[in-house]
Amino acid sequence: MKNKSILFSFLFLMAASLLSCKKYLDVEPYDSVSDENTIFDQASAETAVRGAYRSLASNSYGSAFQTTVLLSGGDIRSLNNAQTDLNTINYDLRSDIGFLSTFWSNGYNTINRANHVIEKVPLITDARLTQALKDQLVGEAYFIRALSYFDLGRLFGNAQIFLTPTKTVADKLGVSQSAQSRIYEQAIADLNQAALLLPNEIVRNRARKLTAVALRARVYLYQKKYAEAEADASTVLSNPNYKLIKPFALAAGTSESVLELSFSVDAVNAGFGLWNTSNRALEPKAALHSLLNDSTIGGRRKILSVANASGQFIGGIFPTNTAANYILRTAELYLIRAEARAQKSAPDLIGAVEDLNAVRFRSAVPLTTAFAKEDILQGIENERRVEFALEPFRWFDLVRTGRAAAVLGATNPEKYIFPIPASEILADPSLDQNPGY
Amino acid sequence: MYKKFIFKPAVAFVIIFLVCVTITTTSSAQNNNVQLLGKIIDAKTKHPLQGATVHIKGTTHEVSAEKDGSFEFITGQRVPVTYIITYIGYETQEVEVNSYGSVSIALKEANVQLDDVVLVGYASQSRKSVVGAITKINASETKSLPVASFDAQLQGKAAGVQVNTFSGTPGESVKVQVRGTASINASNDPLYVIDGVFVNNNSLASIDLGSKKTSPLADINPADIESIEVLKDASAIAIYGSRGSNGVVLVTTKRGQYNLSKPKYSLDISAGFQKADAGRLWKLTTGPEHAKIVNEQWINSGIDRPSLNQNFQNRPFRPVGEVINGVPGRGNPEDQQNYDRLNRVLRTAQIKNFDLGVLGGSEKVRYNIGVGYTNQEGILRPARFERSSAKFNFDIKLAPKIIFSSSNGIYRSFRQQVRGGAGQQAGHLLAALHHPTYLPIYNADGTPARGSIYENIDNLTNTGVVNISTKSLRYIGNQYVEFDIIPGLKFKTSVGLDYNNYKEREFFNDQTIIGGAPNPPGYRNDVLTDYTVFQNEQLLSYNKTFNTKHAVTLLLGNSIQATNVNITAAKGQGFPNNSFQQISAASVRTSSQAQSKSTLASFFGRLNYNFNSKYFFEASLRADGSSKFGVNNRWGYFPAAGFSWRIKQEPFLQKNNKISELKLRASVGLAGNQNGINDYASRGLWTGNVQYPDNLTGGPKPGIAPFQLENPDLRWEKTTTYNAGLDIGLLKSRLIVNIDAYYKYTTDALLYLPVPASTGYGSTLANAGEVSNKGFEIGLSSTNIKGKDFEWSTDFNLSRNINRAEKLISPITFEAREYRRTEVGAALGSFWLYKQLNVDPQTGDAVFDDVNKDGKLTQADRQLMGSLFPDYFGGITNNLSYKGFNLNVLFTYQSGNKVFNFNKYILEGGGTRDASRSILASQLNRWQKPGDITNTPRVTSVGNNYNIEQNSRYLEDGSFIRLKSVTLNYTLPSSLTSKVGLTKVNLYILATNFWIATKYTGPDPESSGSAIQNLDGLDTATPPQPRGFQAGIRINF
Repeated sequence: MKNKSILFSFLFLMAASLLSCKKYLDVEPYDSVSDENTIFDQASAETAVRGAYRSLASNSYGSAFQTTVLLSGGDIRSLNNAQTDLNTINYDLRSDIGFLSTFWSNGYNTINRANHVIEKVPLITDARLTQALKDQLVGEAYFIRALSYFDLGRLFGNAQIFLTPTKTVADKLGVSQSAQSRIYEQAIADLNQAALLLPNEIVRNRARKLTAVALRARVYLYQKKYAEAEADASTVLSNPNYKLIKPFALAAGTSESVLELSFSVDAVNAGFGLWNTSNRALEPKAALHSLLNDSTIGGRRKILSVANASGQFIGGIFPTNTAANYILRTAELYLIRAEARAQKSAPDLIGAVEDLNAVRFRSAVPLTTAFAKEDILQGIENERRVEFALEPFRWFDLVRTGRAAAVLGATNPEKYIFPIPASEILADPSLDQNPGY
Repeated sequence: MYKKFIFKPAVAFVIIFLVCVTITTTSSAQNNNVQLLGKIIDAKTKHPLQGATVHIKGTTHEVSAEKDGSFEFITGQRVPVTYIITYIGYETQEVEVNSYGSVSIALKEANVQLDDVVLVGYASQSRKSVVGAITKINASETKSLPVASFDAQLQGKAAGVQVNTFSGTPGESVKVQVRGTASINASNDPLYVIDGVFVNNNSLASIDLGSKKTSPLADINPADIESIEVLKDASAIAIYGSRGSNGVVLVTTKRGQYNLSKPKYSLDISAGFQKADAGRLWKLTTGPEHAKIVNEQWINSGIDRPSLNQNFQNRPFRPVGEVINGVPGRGNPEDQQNYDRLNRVLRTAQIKNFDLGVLGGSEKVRYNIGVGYTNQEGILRPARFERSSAKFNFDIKLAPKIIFSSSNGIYRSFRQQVRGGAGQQAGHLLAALHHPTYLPIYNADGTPARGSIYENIDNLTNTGVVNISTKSLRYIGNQYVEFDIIPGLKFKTSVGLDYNNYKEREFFNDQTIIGGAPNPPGYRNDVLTDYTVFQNEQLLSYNKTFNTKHAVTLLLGNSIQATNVNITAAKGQGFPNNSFQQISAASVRTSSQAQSKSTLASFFGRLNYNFNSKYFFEASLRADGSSKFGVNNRWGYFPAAGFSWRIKQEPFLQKNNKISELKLRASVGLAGNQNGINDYASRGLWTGNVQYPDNLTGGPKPGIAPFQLENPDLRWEKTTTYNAGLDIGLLKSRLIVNIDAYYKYTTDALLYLPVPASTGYGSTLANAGEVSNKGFEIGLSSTNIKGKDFEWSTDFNLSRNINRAEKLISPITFEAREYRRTEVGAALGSFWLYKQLNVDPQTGDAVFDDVNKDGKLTQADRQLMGSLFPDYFGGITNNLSYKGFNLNVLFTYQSGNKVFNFNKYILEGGGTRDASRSILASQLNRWQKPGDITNTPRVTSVGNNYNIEQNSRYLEDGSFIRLKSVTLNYTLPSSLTSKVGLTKVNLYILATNFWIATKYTGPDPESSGSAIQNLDGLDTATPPQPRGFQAGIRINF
């Protein structure tokens, strides 16, 4: 009797297991959601847009991007002296260097987040999600996508354009690359959309109508569409909310800031660690330090490079690890307009000098006396060098203006765009390597 | 629903248990008794064998021998009777007795492994009848080695099992690989089962330790272990189904003995010290040499690329007075000082060990209690590993046919941690080794100096300044009830639990880089990980012999298992001062949480049949369902079959004196793998940890972002294993040879398939590869000399494994620097490098192999240059005993594996790293003038001499043969010890790692800063395994 009951209980347990197995094996994740429940109402639409900004701030413009572009610009020196830093400063990158795929994947990661918003938000039916808010969120996604494509274009030259979110890997295979000019056109198209959809208000750490216009001015400058660049810069500068602050100071939260990316204790600014005094990765080279500390050149901008007691040059751009990172500043718009005015088919040299001097004046350096177009352009180049001493501009500026060979000794124009990461070509053989790599 | 379900077996278990307790019966005494007397002694030493069990055949009478070896029965039995005497470590003996006088029975030590009982999955079998490839290691052979975890003690002991210790720091992870590596991204670790509990062997470390891992197996006290079995082939592992494909390590802990008249105590105390082999440590350039190299590089670079504007005038090491652009010189090379940091971080480490065991039992209850304490310092300051353990195993015969068995271990381990490579600011060894030697350790004002990217070494070694420590509190236990339903039919139900409370702490005070200005003052990070593996199993087994020749064993069972992980972290920065260390005192506080769960449900069965103990047949099947896999492929089925033929039993061999055993084994089967993959790997997921503000004033608001692509077809990785083996015993089994050859083929390999990053994702877990492993193993066990007093035996094993990726969608590269690549036709994770052919004696430039002959050095010129897997590996143990003395000598070896000397790559950088890293003395062999023949190129930051990270110059041969241990034991004569009431007193000394032969230029070819699977063999940031010396005493009473 007892034996039978034991046997029975065993069989019962086996049967019970079988019946319950299916549910037993369904285990839901605790801290992430499945694909189906993502962008479906007002709150989820807002969170998805924030996720795209976070990627822009913490991935796309992270410390690796700043380091590589600053080192390429020739005025900043690496204290880590990593082998890849040598490859960078010698303009001798190879396609198997790790940071290249980081830039590539960060860019597309941000783009995929934006594409999700652009595709899904317009389809949401939620009474609380007003048309105005819908437009704003989609407009922001267009802006983020434009900025990401612009960066991919200036870094890699030839990249693929995707305008829909990824559902399966196959979505993105076998698409050939677009040339840099085509990528810039895509950025302009997205910015036009953004400018149309975004509200005309001032928010300095999110994209609004004038933020899109300001970025469009920069892209036009890269495209050498000077009249358009000038017009867009003027649109922004005519708004009293965007003006230079005097004396020169870090721009975060001020009228100088057109777009800054925000950080918090939970998502810190990795750029801080680059210049942080006790564990620095980068320092201004002695030559740049001298320029910044020359009262006729750097003027008030000397705060960007300060020699400490042991004679080290400390780069002063991010005072804390939650300090904002600058993407667009009013000073840049002045210098964009100055360059555009000097370069446009009917040059406005006086206007160019005015804009250049606006930037010089607020840093308390003597106004330029340049008169000829060439001298004005050289003045603008010199001004950008000190004004954006610690921001990732100079490499792109020298390449854009064809001056990289003369200034940096980077004589091989094939090296002006980075190689397509080897691992990407491995994953998608339809990608072509850039010439020379 | 799940809760309800697990309740069912649990409730049933309790009810059955209670019923059993109530039906426990007692037996009554008999009359007309007589006395039967005797004594049990060791056949060789004539020492009494206390605790030997004497059983009268055909009865239930059983007693244990007393301290003097004597035993006594008061029984109704009459002579002639037959005694069956059993004793652990001795051959079981049957003796027929015809008189009532005292008899002396001598037991022979059982060193004939063919008579062993070995554990197979869910049961035990006589070695004779085993069909699969199983290696058994008796714990007594290895347990005194000064390594914290038992897995490290297996090195050189088991054929087919590759064991490497990555670091000289105790308590860190050890590599254990059974028959090669089959998996690309799922785990390659074997499955560990301790007393039937599937224990966690994945590091629970969450804090930044570089790429090092702690070993959860170090929680377990090796002294508690009775034996370890390694299951290797399909017939042995397939019963473990989805988790068996990497091999299974079964650990059995010590149990008590029934019918002991009084408990047996054992005490083991040892102490010793360890020290790095100074002769093999890194040799650095002195301060003046460092400066000279940097200047030379500076000037050469200026010549190579004039736009750098580098020349003799502005060289970095120039007189202090020569100020250029506001920068003073650092002083001429010859003015530089030399500071030795290695000596400040390396030390002579102390080891203390203490184990006390008690075992005993009455007629119905047996128990074993073990308590242990280990305190082991690392040679790298301030690393320390401390473990306290308590083990309590007992078995109760609740009724004649019901046994309740309980195994419990409680472990507390403390680790004072050191950081590995990735956490630069606090990497303990790197802060000493990679810090330029010319930079002072203290500033002129006496404050700790930080010249390079590293933390000051004295700050790191002072636990008041930097304190990284972990505490693990762990319980591993299994409770079961077993019923004998009818003769041969047994039912067993069990509940097992592995619970680990793992608490980590990091603290950096305001003097450090992490906790110092401009960061907020002080940094504290606490992580609490709660890890639970719960399992419930039912087993039904039936054992019957028909017509004396047909023996059948049938096993049926089911099992469910749930694994829960809950990680909670809190971080604080900005403390009022260094006296405040609690996070609540910090001005900036952040926290995070991660929870995850997986479940597994299984059904399994096995049939064993043997004919006349000559032909053995075995077949098994397991079905596993896992929550980790896609709904389309949740269940996996794993069958296996095996056959063995004891040729010795055939008439033509039975009488042969020379061949004492000859057995042929063959098996084939399928096992799976799902370990090491994310609990929700098949899902498309969005993460919530991406907040961003809506404006400048509102603060961060929640955000979401996609982070994992869905793969509903995700399924089991499956490995088919073919095995053929031969067991030979010669010369009365004085020479035993085990040979196994195998072929393992893995399909549906789980791997992170690189997807184009343009998708927005980096990789997706997919079943996208096939991998093969083939090889052979030879185990040889020989009693070379067996005299009256002197005995010499040798155990030797050799294993060969060839690993090959057979199918991949595209090659896969690994690591940020992409040193490794998995490509069809080559071993997993093969080194993928630019091959430096030589240094041009005329120019001093490194010449690389231009594979595609395009005159340029591009990625296309990289080639696979060997792997971290050895061609051959194994061990040789020689054991010599003379009277009370015993000498045991263990060599381990491996051959053909490659090691990337990452320290050399960083420190032989031609001076291009200037003030950020030290320079190895070998850099002085650089090319300097035309005609110099060297493989160290001219120092310059321009060109390829020092700008190729993946340069084959840093890849070295990692082959070695190492004198792992020498143990000298002396057992005091029993005539002496018995006078003071002791059974046995044993003194021993042990020396470890005293000799190594290797071409590797780093301190230890086994070192690896990376413990990531298939990516070890990267020597950085880790101290070598030290030389050690220990002395101890074991007392039994």
